[in-house]
Amino acid sequence: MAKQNGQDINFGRSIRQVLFGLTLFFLFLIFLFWRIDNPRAEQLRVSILDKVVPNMEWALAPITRISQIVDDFQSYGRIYEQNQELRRELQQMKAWREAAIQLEQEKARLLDLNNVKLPAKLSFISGVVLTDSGSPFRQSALINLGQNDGVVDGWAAMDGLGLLGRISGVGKNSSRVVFLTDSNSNVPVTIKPSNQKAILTGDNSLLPVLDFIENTDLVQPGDRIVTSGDGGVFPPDLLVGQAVLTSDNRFRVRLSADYSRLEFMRIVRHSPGLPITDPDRLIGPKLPEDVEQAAEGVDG
Amino acid sequence: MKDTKLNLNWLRQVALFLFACLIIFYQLIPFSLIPGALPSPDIMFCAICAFIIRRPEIVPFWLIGIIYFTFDVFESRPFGVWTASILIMTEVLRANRNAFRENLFPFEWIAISTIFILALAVNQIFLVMSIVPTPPFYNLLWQFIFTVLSYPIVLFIITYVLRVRKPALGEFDVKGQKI
Repeated sequence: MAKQNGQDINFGRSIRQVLFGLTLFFLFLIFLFWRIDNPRAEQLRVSILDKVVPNMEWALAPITRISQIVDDFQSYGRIYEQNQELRRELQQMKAWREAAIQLEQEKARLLDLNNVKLPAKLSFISGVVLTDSGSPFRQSALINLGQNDGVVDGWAAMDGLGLLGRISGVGKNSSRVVFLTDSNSNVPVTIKPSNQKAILTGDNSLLPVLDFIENTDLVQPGDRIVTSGDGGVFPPDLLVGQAVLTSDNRFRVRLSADYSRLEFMRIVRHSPGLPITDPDRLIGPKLPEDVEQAAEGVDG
Repeated sequence: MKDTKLNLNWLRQVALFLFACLIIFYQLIPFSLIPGALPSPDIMFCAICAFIIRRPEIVPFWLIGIIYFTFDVFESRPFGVWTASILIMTEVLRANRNAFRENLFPFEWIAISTIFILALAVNQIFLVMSIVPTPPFYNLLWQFIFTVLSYPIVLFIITYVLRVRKPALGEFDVKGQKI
């Protein structure tokens, strides 16, 4: 009896070993799938998050709110200095506003003289931050806009002032915004007065690196950095930040967007120009399928 | 005897999974979106190791797999690699758990730390080999330090609050087999 029992245990053990091996093999297959067909795997991840996170919102929202209240409460401690600081800044802002208005008027006059046609103004959708990436090694956030709001992969996310990142992964009701600070983020930018092109590469720090600058001698700390629009992902001339020179003699960017108090963000609606694939597409936009078929039917 | 030893393992397993959900929930709250935050300790790893040494039947490998795969999905990690590293290393621990039966806590602590650093190394080496961008080294170091430091705390809670202890010599499990 005891011997049989022992055999049972041995049998159970070998089944367990086989199952364990199968699990490892299965995990390896899943990793291969993730590595080879990364966009589809990430889409899968987004759709899982999309199922779960909006259901958790009722629980997430109060806790997020409480943590913000604690933050706000801490800032009461230095409310006086803050007030002084804000007053000084407001004074400076007034001066800038004056300058901006004058420039605006001048620009309008010049445009009028040139009779320039402006592109359709970029429009925004505003979204609320639902969750962060869940890992300190990834810099991203989940927002409450998705396919249902017409969000498309690659659109730019901004706070009121500067660029935050891009949409990467769209679910039905939520989508992921990968920040400029993420190590997977590479954005083509222009350094403003000198018009140098560079690539802004995130490295998990608050100051992303400016890589591939053509001529670093022409770049000064404090230069404005805007998106260049190369590659057709971002619209050109979105404000990114200012160049700074760090002690390791590299140019980095102090971002204009404020990541510390991020509750809402704006998603820039942007449709890049249609790529020209066939020669006959040069003439006009592609007709919808049914119209084309109807036309063929008439021909026949 | 039969009445006193109800098989409540499935309840403990569900509780462990709910705890994992709680950890994910905490990780997802957008406390701060500023980069450079220090990584939090892997509490789940501490709990699983403590259970493996004390009551391995509470944490079968498939439960570890499910929990860590859920972590992989929600913490934007590559699918599967971290799960596999944890599975392999916890299996090593499970195979050698008799060594902890009569040994003192410092030995256990060192062993768990070694196992965690090995799991990190397996994960890192595999990712580097398949040319996936990996988190910076100092971040992993911090995660290791925090996890090691949190192990005694987790163990204290498991031993004195949840009252899960090493089985005494000569004790029997639910199926009547000698542990």
